[in-house]
Amino acid sequence: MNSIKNEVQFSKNSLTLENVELSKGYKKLFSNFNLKFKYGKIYLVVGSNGIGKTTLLKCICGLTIPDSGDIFWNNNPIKSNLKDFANDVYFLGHSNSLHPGLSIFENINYLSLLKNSHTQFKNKNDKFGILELNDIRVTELSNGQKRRVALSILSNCEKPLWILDEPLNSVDKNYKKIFMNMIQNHSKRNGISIISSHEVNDYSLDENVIIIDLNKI
Amino acid sequence: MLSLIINELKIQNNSLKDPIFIICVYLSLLIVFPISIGTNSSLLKEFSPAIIWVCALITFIASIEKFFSIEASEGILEQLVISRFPLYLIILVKVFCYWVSVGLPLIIIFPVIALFLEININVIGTICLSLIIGTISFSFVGILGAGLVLGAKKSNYIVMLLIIPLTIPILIFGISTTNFALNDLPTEATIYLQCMALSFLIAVVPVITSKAIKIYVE
Repeated sequence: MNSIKNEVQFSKNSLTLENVELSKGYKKLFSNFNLKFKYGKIYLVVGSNGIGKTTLLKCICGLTIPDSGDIFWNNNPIKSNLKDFANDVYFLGHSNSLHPGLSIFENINYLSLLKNSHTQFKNKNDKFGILELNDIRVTELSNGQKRRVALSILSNCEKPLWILDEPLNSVDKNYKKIFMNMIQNHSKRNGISIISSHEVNDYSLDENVIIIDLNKI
Repeated sequence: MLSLIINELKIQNNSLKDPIFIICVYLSLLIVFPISIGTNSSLLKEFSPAIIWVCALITFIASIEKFFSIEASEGILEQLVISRFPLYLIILVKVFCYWVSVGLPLIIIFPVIALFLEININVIGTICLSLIIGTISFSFVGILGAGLVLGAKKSNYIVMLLIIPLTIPILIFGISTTNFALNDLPTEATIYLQCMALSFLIAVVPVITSKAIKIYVE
């Protein structure tokens, strides 16, 4: 708890989707989609394969432009303020965004540089045990280890909005618990986490977790 | 900004050939011509400007279609699109680093190659300047092609079809400069034309390539 007290609270942000219409290729995924994401909450986006979980997450973080409708970050449309919005968001996709030609710490520095989050790994913030992987090339890591590196970068970035696409893929039980603590800590700091997953059981459900089932929309 | 360039140089010198390998490729391409034409032929001397430029072009575009492939498959392009840097600036850095990784070794080795091609020492500087402008232009065209074929099947063929027509003006101006230099004629006009082509590419390529990357990431 002490560590939470020492960390800076994020301001009370909100993300709103208004009449969003979204398609992938010729397939219409959503029409008139309205949703409000509030600070301090964890949103779990679930649904069957191909329903549009990844496309929705990409749309929320500004990578995919909706066919119509608007997305507002603190009442400002993100399409006209994409640079400011990008400064507040961290997106972890299906892939880990690690360059195979670089070592782990070179990757951490590169992503920190791109995201303006000067991450410095020390023993106390090494939640996912990556210091032991020091200076190993990414190509030599297993999928689970790569995911742990990606989650470590996430845990050390000071962004109020986390958009995570199946973050627990290939992650073992112990690190799943650490991840849950991490996102709960993020929500206590007024952060917003939007997570897509096939496995609701992986997440310890409490009053802060809100499930968005795309099959029912 | 400097950190971005250093990181990009590290990435490119791991994923593309290292400078020594680039020089070897260029030299082996140059050797093909004397073998096929004959070392004593006057044709070799006549064709040497074209040989220098065509070999440089082949070295530049040999693996260009894979330029963004690792970043695309590993999800790094998505991070570039939503990074704090404008995407066109990242593209400019990538072009510069690609030129440093591939073009600079060629420029450094060129005086040695010029001796073998019996090129007058006084004109090596002019030809090097022309090669610097031309190879930077090749880098821009190559990266434009690599961006446009992102996600395409058979991208290695498509990228050649896209790039080669765009490199023809650069080749014409470059070969003309080299020819004029070898014949002791003034080269300013053709060098200005090369600069004009490069200015056009600097203005256009980052914008089109960043748009192509954004479409791919969508």
